[in-house]
Amino acid sequence: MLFQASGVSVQPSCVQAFNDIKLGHKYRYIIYSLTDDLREIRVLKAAAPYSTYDDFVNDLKEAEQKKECRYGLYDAEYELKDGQRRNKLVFFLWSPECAKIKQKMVYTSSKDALKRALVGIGRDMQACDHGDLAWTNVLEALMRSEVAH
Amino acid sequence: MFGRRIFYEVGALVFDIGSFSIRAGYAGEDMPKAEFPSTVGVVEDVVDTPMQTDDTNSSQPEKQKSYHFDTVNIKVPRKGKEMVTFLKEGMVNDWDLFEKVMDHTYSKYIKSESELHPVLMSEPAWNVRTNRERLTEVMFEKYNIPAFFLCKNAVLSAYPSTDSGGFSDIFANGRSTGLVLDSGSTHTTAVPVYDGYVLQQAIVKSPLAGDFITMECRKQMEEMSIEVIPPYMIASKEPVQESASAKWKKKPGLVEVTKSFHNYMVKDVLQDFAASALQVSDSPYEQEVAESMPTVHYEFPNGFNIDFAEERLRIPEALFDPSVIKDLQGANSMLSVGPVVTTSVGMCDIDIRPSLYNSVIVVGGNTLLNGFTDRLNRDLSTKIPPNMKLKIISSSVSAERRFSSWIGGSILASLGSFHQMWISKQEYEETGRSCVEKKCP
Repeated sequence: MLFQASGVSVQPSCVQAFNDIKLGHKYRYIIYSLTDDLREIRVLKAAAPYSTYDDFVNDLKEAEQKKECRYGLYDAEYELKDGQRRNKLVFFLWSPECAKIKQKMVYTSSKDALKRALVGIGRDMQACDHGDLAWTNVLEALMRSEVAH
Repeated sequence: MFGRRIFYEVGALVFDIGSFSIRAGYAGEDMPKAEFPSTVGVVEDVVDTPMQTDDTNSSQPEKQKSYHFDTVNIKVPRKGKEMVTFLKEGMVNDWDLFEKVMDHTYSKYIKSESELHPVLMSEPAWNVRTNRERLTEVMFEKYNIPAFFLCKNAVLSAYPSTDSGGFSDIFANGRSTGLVLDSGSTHTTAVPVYDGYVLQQAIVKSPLAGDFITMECRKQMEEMSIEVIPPYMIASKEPVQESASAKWKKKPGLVEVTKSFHNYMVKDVLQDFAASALQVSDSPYEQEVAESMPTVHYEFPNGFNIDFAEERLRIPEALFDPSVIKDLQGANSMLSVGPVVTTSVGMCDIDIRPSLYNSVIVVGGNTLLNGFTDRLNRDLSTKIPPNMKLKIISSSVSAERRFSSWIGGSILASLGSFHQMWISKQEYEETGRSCVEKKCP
């Protein structure tokens, strides 16, 4: 068991932004990151509702170039096979293979702290490469949880 | 609060204890200060020399034990030296010896007072409560450390090395969910981790691991009538033709060594043989295929040299198909590597199985056998449900793989935010040793 194994804390603005997206669809996605001293999780970016999944992925890839990890929250809209529309908040742990080991350690060991603060996440994705980030992969996971519930 | 402020100004120590080796060093550094074998040479000296009579209490012949540590030192032949370890199944079971090892670690490598540094230590995922509490007690009472933390090894990096020590398998790989397959010296273990929590009830263990392979190599040598002579016995050797009997001279005046010492030294040779000659077949073993494999030339310490052919594949095949093991009782009931994984995943909730198969993290010295990961990949992909994606992760850089367990602990313990995670001495004194269950779940 490693509840909050790192002792990293979550800034209140993280929850606020999450609630804005959950209750008002105010943003399309949120990128969270650790502060430079690695003590807290903060909101790095809250993207406007007209942003796309590609924008989201590009932001994550930008972190990859810095050899850093990120958390992401994406307000996913999709259709089931029978045409029903769905909306789900998908949480991402983005730890690209090339990220520094310290980044990986801190992000993974602090993930639980953030996830616990954000009540109402629909799906949790662990992404380590571009294949994991592909929309088809996310959609597949969403469909799978649809069957499971 | 004041008590807490003091200690995190001073560097914490990270001890990663595995059944093959111990890694110790300062948190925040890239590499451990030391790595040395978990095996200790113990000599029981009967002090019967009546010369040192400067004390008054020298009348009794006192039995004294001397301890020999470190890679080089333990390999020196000494009369009556027994090779022992303080671990059983990765857990401490000889506490006196454990203290000797800790004393040695502090005096030789840390070179600082134990009461100055908080200690983060790794433990196997299946460690039991009594053991954890006793460890906490020893560290606080005997070493007087200011703060302590115990971390499940599978949760935290990437290499519990040739044993089942090593934390951070999951975290250092940038994942919080995954299945850690650790094939070390004494056992092969599958430890499922979900969101950083070890799913204790689904841990699966098998004895088919490194030591087993060494044993099989030994059997093979006996079958081929090859006598394995460890270097400590050899004074000199001459080059000989392939398969010709060795020409070597025994060291004169060799002391009488114990069986455990000799076996340890033979094992050392066999481990080298296994690492350089063995090859895991990429598909289930077939004699014809094996015989057509390129041979590998291996020279033993005494100069004897020979080509190995189908044995190269047949020996490690037992890890994946125990039915090839000759005359071993209960071989069929032993789980091979693939089933260790599938059984473990099968015991987990159906919802999380896809994410476990999507992050199978392969660690441990035994997995460094050539072809191990490829075969695992093949065996698993035929067995897992078609709607699940298999992804096997193994670090290819062996230095990183060797220490990343330790490195994971090093990073965690050096985080500014980690100070609130420690069990402080004050907390220990207030609640007693049971605090470890609460603070380090």
